[in-house]
Amino acid sequence: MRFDLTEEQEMIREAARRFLENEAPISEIRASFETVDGFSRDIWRQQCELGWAALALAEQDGGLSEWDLRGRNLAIIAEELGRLVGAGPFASTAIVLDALAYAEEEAEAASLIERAVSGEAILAWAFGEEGGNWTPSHFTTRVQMEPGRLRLDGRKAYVEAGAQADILLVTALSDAGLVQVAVPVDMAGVTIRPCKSVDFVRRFAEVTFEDVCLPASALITGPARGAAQVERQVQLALLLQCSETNGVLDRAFDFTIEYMCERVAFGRVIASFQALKHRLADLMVILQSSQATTDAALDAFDRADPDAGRLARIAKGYVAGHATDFLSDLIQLTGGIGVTWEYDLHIYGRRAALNRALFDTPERHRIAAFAQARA
Amino acid sequence: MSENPHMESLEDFAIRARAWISANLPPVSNEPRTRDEQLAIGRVLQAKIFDAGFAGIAVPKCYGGAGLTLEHQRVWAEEVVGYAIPDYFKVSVGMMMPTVLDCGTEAVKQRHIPRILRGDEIWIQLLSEPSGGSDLAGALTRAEASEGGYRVNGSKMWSSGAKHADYGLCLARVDWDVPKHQGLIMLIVDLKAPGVDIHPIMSAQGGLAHFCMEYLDDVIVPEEYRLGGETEGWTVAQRLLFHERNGIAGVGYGQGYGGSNGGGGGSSQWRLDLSPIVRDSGLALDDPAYAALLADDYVETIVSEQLEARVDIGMRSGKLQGQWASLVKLDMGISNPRNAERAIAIAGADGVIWSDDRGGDAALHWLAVRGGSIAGGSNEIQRNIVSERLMNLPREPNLDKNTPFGEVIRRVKR
Repeated sequence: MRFDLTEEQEMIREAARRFLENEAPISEIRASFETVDGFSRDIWRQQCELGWAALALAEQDGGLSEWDLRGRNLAIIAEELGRLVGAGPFASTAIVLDALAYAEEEAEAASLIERAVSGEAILAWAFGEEGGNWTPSHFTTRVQMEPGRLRLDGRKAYVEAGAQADILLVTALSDAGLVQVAVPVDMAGVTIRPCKSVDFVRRFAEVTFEDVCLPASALITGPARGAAQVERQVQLALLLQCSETNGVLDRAFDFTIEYMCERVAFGRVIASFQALKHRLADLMVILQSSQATTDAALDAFDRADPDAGRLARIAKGYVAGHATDFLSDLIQLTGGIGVTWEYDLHIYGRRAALNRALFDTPERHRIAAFAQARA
Repeated sequence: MSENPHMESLEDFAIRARAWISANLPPVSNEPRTRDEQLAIGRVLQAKIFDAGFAGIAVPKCYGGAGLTLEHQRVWAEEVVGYAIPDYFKVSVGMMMPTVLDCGTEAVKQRHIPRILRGDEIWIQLLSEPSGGSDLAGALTRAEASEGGYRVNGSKMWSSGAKHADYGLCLARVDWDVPKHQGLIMLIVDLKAPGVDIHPIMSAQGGLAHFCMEYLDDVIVPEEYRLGGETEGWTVAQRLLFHERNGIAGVGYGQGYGGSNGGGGGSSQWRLDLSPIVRDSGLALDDPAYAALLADDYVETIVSEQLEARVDIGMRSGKLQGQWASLVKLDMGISNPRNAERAIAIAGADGVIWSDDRGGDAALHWLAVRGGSIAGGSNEIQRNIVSERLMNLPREPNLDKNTPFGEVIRRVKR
């Protein structure tokens, strides 16, 4: 958590933490494991009443955030969700709302925004494609722009809440460049196939579009702004993911240390052994560095800094590059109980592993960041 | 410090300082210089700053300072960013001078503080010994009362720039029959006095390091050159370390150098930019064998800077205590050797066999880099501080805390 939160941000954080601890504690997450959807629409509606979705929008767009605090406000919620490995379509809703806030004038965005902000409609972002393809220029999903209407063909993978959503925002290539279209899930030609994931409660789907015919008002992002808007959404996705992972690391670190301060071996609490203390100190460096790099990137995002993309990739490259190993080390430090189903560490590890791969790997992001720095 | 209604406001001071700085100080230069050249240039600059009333901004006027506050000093530190500052005096002015100001006798303060501030005298610390660096309170150097003062015997090590220095703050043992922290004394040793023998240390890279080793053989120190009481050496040492930390964090009496570089010498000193090595070796920056190494190094470099900035903000806002500098130091102590490993990996043969005009940087860097992980508190000491002070984990058992030090020595040697 950053040291320069405003008073209002402290309140946002406090309210989010209280809500999650009371309404969605880890026992609820465990209970949701067996459910198809992984989250409760009722809880999501309550979270929307707290303003979580509206934080994605600036005040002048009917939202709750100051124009240049949107990223940082959303990151507070993401971090709190990470602390309790929370469920729900928070990130996908925030990302799609950002696209809707910048929608084409002819687009039918206003009613979508209203339904999404109240929690009535669930929004999902259909972005990546199979084979771990997160590079828009390599996408095979196409939009044909015809007079008065659009035709969508292709296949999207790793769509979070794809089987739970009401509306999909699909990123696709057109002859004129990258575009995004809003697709109600019940359109003819849309087939949704749920997938399995390592995470306890986050659900994903593959979505196939076969000659889906859409009105012209479904065009949310036109080709003129396509590449820039999609890049903005990718940055936001990476930063919310890093913030969530930071919450995961922070909380898991805390309860591991608590356990180590109680567990006794050879007549001492195990947290007093220098061999273990030194490993915890090294993990502390990683934890603080993860927060530092995420916060620096969020600042740049909110300033719309030209370096925001590079800094977001540095953050992803660092945070995701360390997170699974960090959790793995916590399991080792905990000992046998750390590998049991009943102990919570694996739920945190699952979330770190998911976030590592989603929106591409840290290895690729580090290469991309270095390439951007040289350019 | 009580509020003096006649004291110059921070805003007025900033304007005055800015005007003087821009008219009188040269911009930062990257020209490579030897230590001797740095010292010669530094002395001229320091005298100029002193004569204009900007050395010792928070030091009382009776000792040659400006009689203002540490807040004014901080304003100065911000204003001089980008200008050449006599780096040579950061220990002398920033760390030794305030310790003398806190603990020195009146006569010593009157005599020496103006000279330190002007750069006419250089003061250093004589704390570490060949037998111990991390455990400072385990000092073996011996001080015995002799007529009008003390007779000192022993050896000190890792003192920066002792070759050019005039006085050293020396931690010595005066009583061997009490536990280790209680039997220490802090003496000001005249480094030109008979019995002081200074040897520069040859570094593993070859060439003389900035560090020295000193042999003290029946060196006489007058009583008025004692800091604090006769058995208050450890209290004075902690005061010194406090000023050292503040100096490193950029919130002390120094000129503003060091900024927030977290200690152990600035981060850049211990990191090698890998791109020129790749170019010199005729490799492509996207050579698949090295692309990931280069990208990893790039990300780690940036994230270290971001961590430093985060801790700096936390300390300035008062949400983090001074010990958090240890986290930054530990990060550097871990990541800089990784940087050196990548450098020799990428440089290949040109890193280890070179001609006069190019190559060799990687090997020399690799040979030197562990200095940064050891000097100013080793990684292992930083890990103790991080785990015990930042994270409140149980402290290491102190086997020598309550036993007379002489007995500790006998017990260990048995």
